[in-house]
Amino acid sequence: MSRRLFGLCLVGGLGGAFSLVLVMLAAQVGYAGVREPLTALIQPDIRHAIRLSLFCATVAAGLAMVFAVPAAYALARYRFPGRMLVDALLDVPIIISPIAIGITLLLMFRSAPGSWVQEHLVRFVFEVPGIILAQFIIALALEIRVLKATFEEISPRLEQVARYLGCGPWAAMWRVTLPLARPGLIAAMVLGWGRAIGDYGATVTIAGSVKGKTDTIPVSIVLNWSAVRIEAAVALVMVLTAIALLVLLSVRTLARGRPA
Amino acid sequence: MITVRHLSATYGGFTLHDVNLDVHEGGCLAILGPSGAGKTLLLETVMGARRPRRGEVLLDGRNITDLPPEARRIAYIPQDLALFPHLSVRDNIVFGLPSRSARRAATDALKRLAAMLRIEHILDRRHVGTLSGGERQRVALARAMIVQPRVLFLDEPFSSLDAATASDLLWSFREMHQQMRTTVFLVTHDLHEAGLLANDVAIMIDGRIVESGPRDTVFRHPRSVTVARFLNIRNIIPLSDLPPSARHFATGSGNGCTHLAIRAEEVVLAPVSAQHDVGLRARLEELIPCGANVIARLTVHGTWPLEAVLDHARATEIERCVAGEVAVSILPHGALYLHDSQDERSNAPGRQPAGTSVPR
Repeated sequence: MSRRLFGLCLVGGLGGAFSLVLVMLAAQVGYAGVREPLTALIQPDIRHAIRLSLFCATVAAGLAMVFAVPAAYALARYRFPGRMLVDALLDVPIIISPIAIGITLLLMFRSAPGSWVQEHLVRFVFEVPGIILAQFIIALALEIRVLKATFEEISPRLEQVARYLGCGPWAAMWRVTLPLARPGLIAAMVLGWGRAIGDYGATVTIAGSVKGKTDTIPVSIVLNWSAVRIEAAVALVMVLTAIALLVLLSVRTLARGRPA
Repeated sequence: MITVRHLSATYGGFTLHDVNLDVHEGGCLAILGPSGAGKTLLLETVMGARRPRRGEVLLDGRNITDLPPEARRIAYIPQDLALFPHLSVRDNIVFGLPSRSARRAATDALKRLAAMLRIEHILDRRHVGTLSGGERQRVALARAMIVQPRVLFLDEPFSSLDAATASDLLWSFREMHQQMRTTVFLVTHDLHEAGLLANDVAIMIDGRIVESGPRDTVFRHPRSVTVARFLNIRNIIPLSDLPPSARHFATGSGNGCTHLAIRAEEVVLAPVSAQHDVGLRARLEELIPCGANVIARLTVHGTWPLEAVLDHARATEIERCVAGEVAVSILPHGALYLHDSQDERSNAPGRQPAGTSVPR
C-alpha cells in the first residue's frame, strides 16, 4: 500500500508538472491556431525583431564567453584573497531582477565616466549596443557559473602533467583543458545565448522599446500584445518557445556526451 | 644528476625540513615512508609543482628551482596517471613531442617503446577509458619515456594495481630502466617496489629524511628504531629490557645504541633435542600461515615476545612443538643494534657475531 502511494505521488508530481507546461504550450496554438501566427512571421517588423534578437544575443553571448572562460578558470583553479566575494559578486546578475540590471546600467551611463563613453565612444542608451550590453551582463553571469563547474570537474593534474611534457600554460589550456571542457563551453554558450535572447527587463530599461530599432523578440511581444496584435505576439511567443526547447535539448544532449 | 640542497617547504600546515638528496645519473632514488610522511610534497617541490620556502634543486649542476615545469625537461607520472581522456592511446603517448610533425613522425620511437612495454595491441584504441589498470600504467610510462626526460618522477605509480599486475609491471619497468638509463625519482611506501627499482633509498618520516644511502645498506643496516619499524623489522627490544640470560646481546652494541632488533626471517627454530641442550629456548605460542610463509609467535622467558618467519616445510617440522619449547638461534647478521632517536646516528651499526645463539 505504502509503495503504491509512493509511486502514485511520483507519477502525480511528474504528470502534473508536465501537463501544466503542455497545457500552456497548447494554449499558444489553441488561441491563435498555427496558420495565422506563421503568416505573422513574415511581417517585416516581426522579422526585424527576430533578426535583431538573433544578432544581439549571439554577439552578447559570444563576447561574454571571451570574459567568462578566463574568469571561470581563475575562480576554479586559483585561491586568492577576496575570491569568495568576487565569486558572489559575479553571481549577482543571476539573482537580481533584469530590470534592476537595466536601471543600474542607466545609472552607470549617467555618471561622468559613463557619459564620456556615451559621447566619445559608443552610445548605449536607447541604442542597439545597449541591448548587447544588457544581454552581455545577463549571459556573462550564467556562462561563468556553467564554466566554473566545468573547469572544476577537470583534474588540474592533467594540466600539470601536460606542463611537464613540455606545454606552456597556453598550450596546456589549448591542448588539454579546452578540449575537455568542450561540452561545458558549448553548454555555457547555448545557455548564455538562450538567456540573452529571452531577456526583456534589462533590454527594455536601457534600450527602450523603439519599434523597428530596439524591439527584440520579448519587447516586440509586449508591443504587439499592447496593440492587440495577438497573432503576431503569439507567433513571437512560439519562436521563443521553440528556441527554449532547442536550447534545453542541446544542453541535455551535450551533458550526456560529456567525457569521463 | 639531480641534487636537492637544504630544501624546506610548507603546504597545508605540513612542513618539509631541510632535505638534502642526490640522485645519480641513470640511477633510481626511492623516497620511502609511511602515508602522511610528506613524500608527495617532497616530490612536488623537487619537480617544481610547489615553490620551496628555502633551498634549491640542481639538475646537472644547473639551478632549476625557479624554472617553469615545461623548461625542466622532466616527466611526471602521478598516482592517478592522468592519461588525457579526450585523446587516443597513440595521441596520449606522443603528446609530449614538441610539434605536430614530430608527433606524426614518431613511428619508430613509438613502436620501440610499445614493444618494450608490450602495448602494441592497444595503440589504436580511441579511448583510454577502455584500458585495464596495467595497460593504463604502461601507456603512462610510454608517454613519459618518449620525450626522453632528464629525470622521471613517479608518485606511487603502481599502488592502485592488484599485486600480480603490479609485480608484472615492476619487472617491465625495471627492464626498461636498465635499458634506457633514465634518472628516476620514485616516491613509494612499498618496500618491494623500492627494492626492485631503486639503487638508493631515503626514508622520510614526518617531513624529514631520517636515513638515506644505497638500498642494500639502508635495508640491511637500518640505524634507528623508527626506520627499522618502517622496514617491518618485527623483533625490536630495548637493550635494557633484555632478559638476564640474553644480556650478552648488549655487548655487541656500542656507540650509544639503545635497542636490539632481530629480523623475523633470520630467526631459526628447531625442536628441542639433546644437540640443542644449550642455547636460547622459547615457548612456541602459535603458527600462523600467511601466503608463502608461516609466522611463528614465541615468548622468551615468559616476557619477551619474538616473531619468526618460516617456510612451510620448517613450520611442519616444528608444528608438534606448539605450546611447548623450541630452540632458537639467530642467523649471521640477524641481529641489529639501533638508536632510539631519529637524530642520533651511528656510523657503523653494531653486528651480531655470525651463528651465535644465546645460552640459557
